Amino acid sequence: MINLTGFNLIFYLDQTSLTHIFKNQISSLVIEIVANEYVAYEDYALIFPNIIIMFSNLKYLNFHPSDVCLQRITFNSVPTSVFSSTLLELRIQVFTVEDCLYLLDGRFDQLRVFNVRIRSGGHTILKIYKVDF
Amino acid sequence: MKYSCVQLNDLPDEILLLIFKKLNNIELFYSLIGVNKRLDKILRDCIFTNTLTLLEYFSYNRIYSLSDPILNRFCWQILPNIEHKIKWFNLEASSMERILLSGNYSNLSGLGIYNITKENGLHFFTGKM
Repeated sequence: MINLTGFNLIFYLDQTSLTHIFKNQISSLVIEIVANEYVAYEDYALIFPNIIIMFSNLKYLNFHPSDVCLQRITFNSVPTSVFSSTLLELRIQVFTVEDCLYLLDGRFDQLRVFNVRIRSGGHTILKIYKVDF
Repeated sequence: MKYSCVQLNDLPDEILLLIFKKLNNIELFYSLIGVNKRLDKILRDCIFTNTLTLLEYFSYNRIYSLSDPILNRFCWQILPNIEHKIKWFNLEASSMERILLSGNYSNLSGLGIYNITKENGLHFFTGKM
């Protein structure tokens, strides 16, 4: 597994031609990953920060939009250097409450709507509106 | 009776708009773009061109790419005609690349990507194969 460092993230960014074309103009993004596909947590932890870095004008991100989606990510390996001052609304499924804390540690300082589903303790949906830091 | 046969093209623009609004915009484009200039003009209205959902949706987790003949017509004839008017694409991951490279979508601001697998997800968002 490749370490998540700032250098590696930038390196990946330069290699992806398609998303590179749209990285400045996309402000809303919905991502749905196939539910029965086995994807390691490490890979998710790689995809999510890359999306945040890649799409520099992202205001709305819905990661795993479907409620029945079995996939979720854990964020304990997302570096603090991944942040966004444009993101206003984030919808996501995570594994633990700690993952919420990683996401709400101030890295998204304009976040107004945070809709999260936590999977480790059964079915919990947490909705936070108008987050102020 | 022989004069009572009214065809689609005999109807005024307002009536055609009312009918088209009730139909799926992807099927409209597929069936009618290129038939004549009048229909092309009506179909270029932003109510049809704002959001394009270019995938087959049967139920949750049963989302497929459009078939090749339909994709070909969209990529070669339809999308280049309305490329600057599209604001949101809902796409299936395996055909996303082809669709996004088929035009210059200068006003595209929203993207929904469905059916992402481990391989294409890592490819799109990390550059890793």
